[in-house]
Amino acid sequence: MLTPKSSNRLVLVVLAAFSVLLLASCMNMEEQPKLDEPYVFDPNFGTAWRELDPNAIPRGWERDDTLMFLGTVDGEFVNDFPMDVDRELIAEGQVQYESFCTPCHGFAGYGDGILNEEGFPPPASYHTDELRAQPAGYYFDVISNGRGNMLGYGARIEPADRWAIVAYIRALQYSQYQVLDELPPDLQAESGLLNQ
Amino acid sequence: MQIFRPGVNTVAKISILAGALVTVLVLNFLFVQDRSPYSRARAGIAVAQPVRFSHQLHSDQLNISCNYCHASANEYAYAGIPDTHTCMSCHSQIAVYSELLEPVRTSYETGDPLVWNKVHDLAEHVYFNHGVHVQNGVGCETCHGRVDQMALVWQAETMTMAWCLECHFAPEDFIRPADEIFTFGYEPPIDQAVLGEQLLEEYEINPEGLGDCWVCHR
Repeated sequence: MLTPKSSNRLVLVVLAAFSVLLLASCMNMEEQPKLDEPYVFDPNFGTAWRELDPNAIPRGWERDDTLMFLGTVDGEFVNDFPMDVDRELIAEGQVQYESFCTPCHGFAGYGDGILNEEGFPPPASYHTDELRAQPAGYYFDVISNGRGNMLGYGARIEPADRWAIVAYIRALQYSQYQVLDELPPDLQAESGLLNQ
Repeated sequence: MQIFRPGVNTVAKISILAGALVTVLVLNFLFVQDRSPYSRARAGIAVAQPVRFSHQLHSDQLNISCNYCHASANEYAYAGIPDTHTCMSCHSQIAVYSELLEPVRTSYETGDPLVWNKVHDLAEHVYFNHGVHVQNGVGCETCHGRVDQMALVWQAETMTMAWCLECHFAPEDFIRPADEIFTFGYEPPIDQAVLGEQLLEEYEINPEGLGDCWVCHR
């Protein structure tokens, strides 16, 4: 049985225990002292990161392969891809194209994107003899570094994804310019153009 | 002299219990209030920014992909904020004399980055990887709300640990197909209970370990 005195003490202990919970709002572990600025010197820890050697090449940043990173071989744009062009690459190209290119170039590449209405000068259509004749490397270079009113997208799109876009642009060009006689016979029949 | 009647003993005992109960209720209220969407997320309360950039205009009206500006959000741990080069990709030609864009042009010319105010500030002891979430079926909308309807952005969800764990304990209730990540106003094409299980297999997500401490804390 609890005596009156001990029950008082019990109440005090319970209240004290609960009051500790009040402190929880004071201990803000969400804000902690950390070396958030990697190159800023801290007297206790030095810098969080060491300065890079000026000649160091970060992993994945070597640029010896000129075809992959510049679209050139021996300083000339080449009509070649550094990887196999398959359905998967073209599908990835479509995703990237529709993220980065359609605002100006439009979904089919005629240069009729939504931003033309906002005042951006329409870019050239891909479906001209001049642009169809350009090598793949040329497109890669334009995506990377820009041309005319178009700023470069090299900082935002990975090289492999830029090549995927080039593959998709080629697919768009074929889709809008195909000699009927060059199609396989079953597709010729399907196109519905033969009987016209 | 007898001041208190014997019945006061009961009153005293009840008042002690009632006092403890009120204390617990008050503390409970404070805790719940502290973690509510109102005080945590400040839902509906936009964060002021140096440039009045409207997601509603760019995303909803112009239908520009999230990816166009947030290019690193898909793959990298840090979602990143677009540089002014990205803004100038269009604004070198559009609204070139707009006063609102003066800080953007200045930043582009001088190379000094715009300092945007952080909207989603996670706790310091959480090692959050943005890309992993995007690549495993968490849509933009799931955490950021209807950003496409926001002029200035606010934090739509509480971003408390309990909120994270809702999905970490049951990802199948929230994930969506890879081609619906950027969709706003998404509705599951089939029953989420069925779709969720399919997607778990597709993304090769093992929900067993997702609730472990080390997944987010080190």
